[in-house]
Amino acid sequence: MSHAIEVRGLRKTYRVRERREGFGGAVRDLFRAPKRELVAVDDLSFAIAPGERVAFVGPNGAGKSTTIKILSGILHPSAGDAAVLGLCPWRDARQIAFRIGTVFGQRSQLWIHLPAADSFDLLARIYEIDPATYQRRRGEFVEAFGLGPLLKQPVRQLSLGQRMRCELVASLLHAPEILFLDEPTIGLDVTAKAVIRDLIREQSRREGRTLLFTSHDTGDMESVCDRVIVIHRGRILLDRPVAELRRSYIGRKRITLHSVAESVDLKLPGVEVIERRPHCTEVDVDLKQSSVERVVQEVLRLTRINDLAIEDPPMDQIVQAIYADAESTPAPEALAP
Amino acid sequence: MRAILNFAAALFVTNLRATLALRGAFWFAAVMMLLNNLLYFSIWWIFFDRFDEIRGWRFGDMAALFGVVAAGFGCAVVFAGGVRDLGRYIIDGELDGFLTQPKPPLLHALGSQSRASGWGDIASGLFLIGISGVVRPTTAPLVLVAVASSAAVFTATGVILHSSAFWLGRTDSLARQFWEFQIAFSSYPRVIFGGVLKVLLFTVIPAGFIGFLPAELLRDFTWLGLAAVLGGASAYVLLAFAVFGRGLRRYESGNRVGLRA
Repeated sequence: MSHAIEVRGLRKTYRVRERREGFGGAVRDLFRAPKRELVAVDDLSFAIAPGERVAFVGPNGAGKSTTIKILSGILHPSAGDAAVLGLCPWRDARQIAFRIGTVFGQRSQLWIHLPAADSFDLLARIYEIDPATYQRRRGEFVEAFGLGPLLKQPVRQLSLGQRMRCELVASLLHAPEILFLDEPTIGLDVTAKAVIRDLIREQSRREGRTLLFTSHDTGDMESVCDRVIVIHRGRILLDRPVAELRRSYIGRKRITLHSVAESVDLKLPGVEVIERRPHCTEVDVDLKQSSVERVVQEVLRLTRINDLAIEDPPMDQIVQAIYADAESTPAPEALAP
Repeated sequence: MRAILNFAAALFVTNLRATLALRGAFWFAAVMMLLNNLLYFSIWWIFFDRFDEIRGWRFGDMAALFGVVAAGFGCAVVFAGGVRDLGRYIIDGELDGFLTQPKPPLLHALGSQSRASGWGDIASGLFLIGISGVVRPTTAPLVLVAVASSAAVFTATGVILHSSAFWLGRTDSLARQFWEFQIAFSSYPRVIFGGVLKVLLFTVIPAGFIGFLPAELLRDFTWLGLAAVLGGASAYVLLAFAVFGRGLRRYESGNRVGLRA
């Protein structure tokens, strides 16, 4: 087996009803509603080597979650083929389930009214982990993830960040060879995000685990992954090492300043004002021309500040830039590394 | 098979712990359901105080019938409480978590919920069977068979009704209403039904397998009666697995936020 995951010409379509406008349309829809085919994943092909950490990014509706759900055996594709650890995800779902882990940021595998420890105990039975191995792994994770004081608290009383740490442990107890993460940092604050990213990266490195990680957040892919696949409208737009993508597309930051002065007039190379409101200025910074540090120093020279936010450019903007590049490139294959 | 039984036992224990975690709500729901059932059955008490029988059915027979149905329904919602939410799981994509784990997704989904009120149903059901006078010490094990087969048919019809969501979309509230509607049909003596309705009560609305046949087994044991009870329950369970399995191929998942209660 040379690849952990191999996908060839994967396609997933849904038949969706189109609603007609107005009351008359609603009545006519009761008897016969027109349907159209919605393409969620369109002729997707890629391969991931064992131990590789791959970010699967793209805007809403790009087909990221659908692909992960096909590869983890939840959905059947409309066409194409896939192999996960040499097995077919939708035909050999049970065998694969023992060897993969999943974390869905919007769903929980923990029992909300019980302490996380009870969910871990049940998962040990689900994955048929022998008691000694289970106790050892659980002990290691409790220490590494700092779960000691949280383990006996009902999950409903945990913060989102604490719950996500428990979700990660729940998905790692059976030592999966591949971990599918579908937006695990969604809704987390900056600190919790950083903790989750560190834990995912460290665990993957230590155990040589393959990761397929979907996110809207460019910070997630930069912190955790070494390769990125950008997907848009079900198709691969770009497949490159993260370092290369960073050089090409993430060389910008967005800074929001809440100043004491009513307005701040920044005159630095590569700094462009995007929005200006009284006491609030939002700027886009080209890091090749001006560093964040230099911009902040200049602001502090001009005025005192009440608040400051430094963010990566939104994923949609990056995808738009990649999309524009792809449009101007004649052969899509030319985008592959 | 042993692994699945181990899993089912662990799932039930976890589920029970989750139900008992909300102690106040547990006692309130269980006691209220017990009182509700006994109050409802008191109508039959008053009725049989005035009239001796309905076509051969006496107070004891009615108590056994009502007891089997109540205890059967109670067992279904205690051990397989997820059945009431199965349609919602299908529509909102909440089967995802069960499908990525190496255990049968239907068993897992059914065992993922337990209703505290079911304990009130079980307690009232066993009480009514106890006072019915139709059970003798030698036939006591039959109570287990009658209640278990009633619970199996309840659960199976719930799975079939809720699986309609795979084809028709959001049918969960209708499925739940129709499912609970079976209780009404199962709680009357079968002698009052006739013709086409009687056929329906052993097919489309399997009230016969939920109440009449198991209750009659307690009253007058026959091997044929036992075979009919077990055969009927097995047929509905197999049908439920088949319908759910067929529907699963059409499962479309979803992105709704979900937590396990």
